[in-house]
Amino acid sequence: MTDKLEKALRDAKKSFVPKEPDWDAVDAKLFARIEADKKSERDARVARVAPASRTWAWVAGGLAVAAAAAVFVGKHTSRAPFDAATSASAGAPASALLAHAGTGDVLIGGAASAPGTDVRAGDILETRGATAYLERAGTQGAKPAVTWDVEDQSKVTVTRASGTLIVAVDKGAVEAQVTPVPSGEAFAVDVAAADGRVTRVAVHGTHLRVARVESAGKIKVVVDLNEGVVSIGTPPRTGSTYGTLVTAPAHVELDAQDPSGTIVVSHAQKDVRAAVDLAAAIVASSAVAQLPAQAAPNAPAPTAPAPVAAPVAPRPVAHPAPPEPAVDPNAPDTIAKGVRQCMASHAPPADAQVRVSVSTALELHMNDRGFPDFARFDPPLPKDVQDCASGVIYKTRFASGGTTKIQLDF
Amino acid sequence: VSSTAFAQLFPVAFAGGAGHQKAVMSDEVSHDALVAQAAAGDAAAFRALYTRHRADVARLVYRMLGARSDMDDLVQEVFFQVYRSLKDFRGKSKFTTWLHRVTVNVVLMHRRAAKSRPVYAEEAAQDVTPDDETVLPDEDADRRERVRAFARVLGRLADKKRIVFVLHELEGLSPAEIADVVGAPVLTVRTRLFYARREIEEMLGDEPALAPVRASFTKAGGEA
Repeated sequence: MTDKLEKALRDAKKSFVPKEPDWDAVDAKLFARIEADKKSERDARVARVAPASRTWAWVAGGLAVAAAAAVFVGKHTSRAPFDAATSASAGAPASALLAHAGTGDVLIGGAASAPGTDVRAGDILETRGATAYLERAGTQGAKPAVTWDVEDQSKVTVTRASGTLIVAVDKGAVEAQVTPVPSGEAFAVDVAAADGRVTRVAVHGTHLRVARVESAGKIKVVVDLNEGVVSIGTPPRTGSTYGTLVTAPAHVELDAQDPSGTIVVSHAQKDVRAAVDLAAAIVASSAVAQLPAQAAPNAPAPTAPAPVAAPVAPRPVAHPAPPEPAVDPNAPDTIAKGVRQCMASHAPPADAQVRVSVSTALELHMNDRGFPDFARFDPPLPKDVQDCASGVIYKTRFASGGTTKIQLDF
Repeated sequence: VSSTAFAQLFPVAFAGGAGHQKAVMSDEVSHDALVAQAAAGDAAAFRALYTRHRADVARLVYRMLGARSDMDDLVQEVFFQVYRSLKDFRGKSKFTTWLHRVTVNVVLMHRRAAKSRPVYAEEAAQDVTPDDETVLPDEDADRRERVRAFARVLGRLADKKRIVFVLHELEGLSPAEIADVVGAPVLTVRTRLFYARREIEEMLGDEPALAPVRASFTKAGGEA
């Protein structure tokens, strides 16, 4: 490299640098944002254990209490790898059609489809005189990762099934209840403008409705957010959606051709469309579907005016809750023993010449009934070990609520 | 206990291992430990990482963006993304390489959102850092003009070429490191670098302040 070029680059290296930013301001904004993010996770956890949301646990019927509790860990421990949404493997169904409401048809790939049909990446769903209710299963039968509907007179394309469930709304609207995931995005909705520009509404856990509204030649994206946080922006090539963060409650409207320039957000509760209780809607629709035609008028679900000629919905509903495990007087020992067994059976094999010592502390928080609803290994153990351990932790009932820490040395 | 074997088995536990490993750590290992602690949710470790790297991130953002207007927000966004993604960092590459990658992605995302070329304009000149070694005002003015012209030239490069040029020529990364940052083969990085230099050479003619440099670019072309 010549002297002159070196001089030019030396100039640039030395001088093409910014003036010192106002770090205090940057710090304040960054850490406030991080705190807000943490808070939204905590709020989501609270929402999950609130009485209203327990309806879903009842709907899920045959799920074990332990398995349901295990979900809680995955949702609110941002560091523990109990991740429901990442369980979907490549090629796995994006969701299953659970039920219809209405007398019309739900078309998947142009063919009328019955409850129980799997929906995969690339499938196009159309609703004509019916609302379709779908679900993406959670890990090992736990709480569903995503429960969503496709409203009547809508057309939706499933664009991605593994990792983040992504759907493109070509017409109409979708509404979703998304179980929060510790990282990344569990669910995203794309809406394309006439010029092909795509706006993505991405969530890691929330209840939202996204509608594509055509008016006066323009395409408007309308988002109603009842819980959590969404990011509205351009679909990224990889990673998370970088865009405008909107927290609930919120009613958002924007022009699909100019999202950042036209976005209008209202946090007034009166502006936010009321959320549909998707779990209840599925129960109602499934119940109607199982009744003989003449019994339909007496069906307990007025939202579905006529029976749908369809097989029995695949998901059991309204089963009695399983009996709760008894209090374990030696709960910490039981858990410690279980974790050690998991460690012995799942830890990666070590070199025979090397003795490995591992120490970790298991921090637990129990609810009022003594069941753990939060668990964290510090430092973390390998994912397989933690996954195995979660099965032990959430089956164990303590005498009372509160917090405890169990020191584990292997 | 073999600390190496242990680290291979439990990288996070090793790095953040709360004193269970007594081995003396070098600065590099200490930094790795800091990264691992931050990844495990240690707020103090994250803040320390942020403090250590924020100036580097700000400089890279500025050099890629060409203006200071959105720099603070983007630095904030970079570290927010780091906060959210750090748990997925497994140490396969250096933390700084990974941080470069996050920064590049955030800036590109911002530019795509803005749907415009960067503002390598008069604003950049206002931001040029004073040179303590420059004594004469006219020398300083010349230098400022050269930097401003350099910024304009960079701003005319396509994103991919500008990224490799900035990372290599200004940030000092090797083509192999840049390949890791941008997710492209090393050969592709070298090719982009070659064409970036060639385009810069062609554009130098439009910048009188950099005219004397043009010849040197011609001679240096192809060197990576």
